[in-house]
Amino acid sequence: MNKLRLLKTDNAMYKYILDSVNQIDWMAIIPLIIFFSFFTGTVIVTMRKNKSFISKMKNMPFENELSEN
Amino acid sequence: MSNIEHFKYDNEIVRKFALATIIFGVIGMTVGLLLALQLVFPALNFELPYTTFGRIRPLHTNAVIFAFVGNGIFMGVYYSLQRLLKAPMYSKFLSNFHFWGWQAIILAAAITLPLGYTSSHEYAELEWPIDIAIAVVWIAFGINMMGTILKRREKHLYVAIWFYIATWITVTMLHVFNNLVIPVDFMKSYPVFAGVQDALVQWWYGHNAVAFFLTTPYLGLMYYYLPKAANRPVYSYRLSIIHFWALIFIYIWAGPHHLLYTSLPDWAQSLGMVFSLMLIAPSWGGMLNGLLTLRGAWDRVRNDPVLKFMVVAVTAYGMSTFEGPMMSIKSFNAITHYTDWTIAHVHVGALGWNGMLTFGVLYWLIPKIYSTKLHSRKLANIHFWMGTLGIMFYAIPLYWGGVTQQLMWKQFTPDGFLQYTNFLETVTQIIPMYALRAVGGTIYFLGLFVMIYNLFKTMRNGQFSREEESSAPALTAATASHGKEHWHRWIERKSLTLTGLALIAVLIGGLVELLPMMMLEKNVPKIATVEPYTPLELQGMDIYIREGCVGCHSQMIRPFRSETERYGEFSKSGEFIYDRPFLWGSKRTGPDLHRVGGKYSDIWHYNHMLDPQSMSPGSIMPAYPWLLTDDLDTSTTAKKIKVLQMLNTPYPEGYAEIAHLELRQQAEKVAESLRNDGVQQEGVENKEIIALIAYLQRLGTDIKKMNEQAPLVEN
Repeated sequence: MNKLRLLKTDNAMYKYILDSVNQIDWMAIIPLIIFFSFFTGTVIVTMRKNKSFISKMKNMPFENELSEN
Repeated sequence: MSNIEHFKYDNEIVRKFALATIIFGVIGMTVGLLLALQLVFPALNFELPYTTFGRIRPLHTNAVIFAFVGNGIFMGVYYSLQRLLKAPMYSKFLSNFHFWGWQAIILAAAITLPLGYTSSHEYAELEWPIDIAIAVVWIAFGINMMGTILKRREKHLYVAIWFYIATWITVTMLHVFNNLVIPVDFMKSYPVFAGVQDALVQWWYGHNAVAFFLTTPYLGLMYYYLPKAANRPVYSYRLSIIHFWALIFIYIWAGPHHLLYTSLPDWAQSLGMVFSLMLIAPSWGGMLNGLLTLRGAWDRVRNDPVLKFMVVAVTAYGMSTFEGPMMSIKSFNAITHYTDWTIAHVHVGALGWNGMLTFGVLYWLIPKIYSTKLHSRKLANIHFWMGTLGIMFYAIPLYWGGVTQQLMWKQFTPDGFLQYTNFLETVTQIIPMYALRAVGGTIYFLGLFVMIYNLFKTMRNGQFSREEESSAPALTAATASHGKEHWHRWIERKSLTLTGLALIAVLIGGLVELLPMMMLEKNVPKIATVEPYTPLELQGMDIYIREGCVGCHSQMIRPFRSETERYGEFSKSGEFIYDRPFLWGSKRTGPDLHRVGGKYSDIWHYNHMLDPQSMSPGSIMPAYPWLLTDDLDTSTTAKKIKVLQMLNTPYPEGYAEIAHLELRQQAEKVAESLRNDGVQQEGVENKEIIALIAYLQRLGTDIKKMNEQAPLVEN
């Protein structure tokens, strides 16, 4: 019961904060959605890279080691 | 392979930038040391316009950011870019044009800033002709870099290069937006945005100057030079990719954290705070990636000075990127903002992250291009300890002083009155901390000379290879050998696409924050009694800008009881709609001035500018005697009014033509009041001091006219 009441209060407050930004409430949501999808996308793409490619990239600074002093 | 190509890396350009970073390190820090000492011994302002704190503070920040760190970036980029792409720079001409152009801009800054030519936008103080020169040189660098990328012999772009590309594209965007001005004459302009909008654009720029000039390029250097110095690949390449995208995406949103509790609308402040907190994740991801690169090699850190410098640099990066988000929490910012805490914070970044990494790279690079060993490890170790201890002795007193002062500002007596009513008390209290800071700075500064001697001996011992032979197969053969196409590899090969995506990533945050501010009128509520400055006040404001008063005085009273008690009603965004540029400031070495209008008499200001200590014993403010002797240049009045009219300042039509008459009348009134109070100076009505007094007496008073009719804010 208490928990429910707490949730309700939270909800009301949530609404109040959004209301207070007048007609620009989309601004609170859009950045979150954009960032979340962007970040998730980056993580998925990065994790799907194959190991040999990652290892090649990692060692790139050492590739022309021989030609250096 | 039959299609092996032979080519030569250009080391000459690397050496040029290396020498420039060393020279400007010395110059930038010398000015910094002078500033630190001026706060302890005001006599060191020398009563000369060119050496006062307000004018040389931007000289110090510009010299360190754009000359010391800037040349450090280019040194690191020109060396690593060629090798990572297996190609010499696209154009030697552009390399040299970039080098000499950049040094010429620094020279122009070193001349114009002490002369008082400033836009007053922090880290973007240079006036419009120099801004155009910066754009030209920066584009030359961009063409050279992209040209090299396009004719590379390595299919994939290593992550360091991504950071270089993001740096280039974002700095270009920021530089253009923050310098949109309309010139009045050759060295004076007014920004197209005013007040709160100007503030938002400036800090969107200012914050990202830190992000994309002091951070991303140096992260690129970290990803190249740290693995090279440690002789082992970066800990996690996957993490570096996530680090890159998350960092550049989030950083651009965080600018408003410089404007917490100001007149900036709350939604923008909250957005800035949330994204600043989120920044901890990618920043620490990057820091850990750097430190973990040394896993299993920590024993070498004990012996290798290069690694020592780099470890402290990366640790300082971690510390300041933790501290930054903390300072962006509104309640925390209420304590740190306007105090020396901010100065300590930026110096952990500048001396620790940028300085120590630059030194590490120099100690690694100079022996490399001179085909020799470092002259003395022992001296490098001494330099390391001087640097590290110098940073600590610099930062800790300022943290201490910052907290002390803020607590004093906020202290009330049990009866509910401010305990320290005189602002000066809170300054004199922390002067010992300023002295200690100067000691810390001196230690760090002297360390620089130990390095210079060591590197000079190294150069003498070695043989400089102007060019370095190398060879690699042409790119086409490498492409053929690859099998399945992968999405991200496609992006890397299409380097221009990567550039475009990076631009989109940084644009999203910028647009979401800036567009509503620019387009929605209601974000800046108008106040009926706020009117444009009179011609004399306008000239006074430009003197205020010229002397860099904004370096020590804010014009933004935050809505705290401790501030409204001390300064008066808190500042409203509608009060700044005619301020071009906005002059909110970011540091209070002296008190806030937003409601100084009418607080003191004209004669008080006259005497105070002549000799601040006579009116406020113990004050560390420099004297401005030339304001009393120099004639006010009124030749620009009409032009200024016309430019402001173009920017929709509601002066009546034809006002430019009669402005000088109004200026004279008002000047006469101020002079009259001075004469009544015993000033006998002949021709005082023609002096600059008159305009400055008129401006100061106007500050924050418009709103009071309304309060006389009805209170604006209900409590």
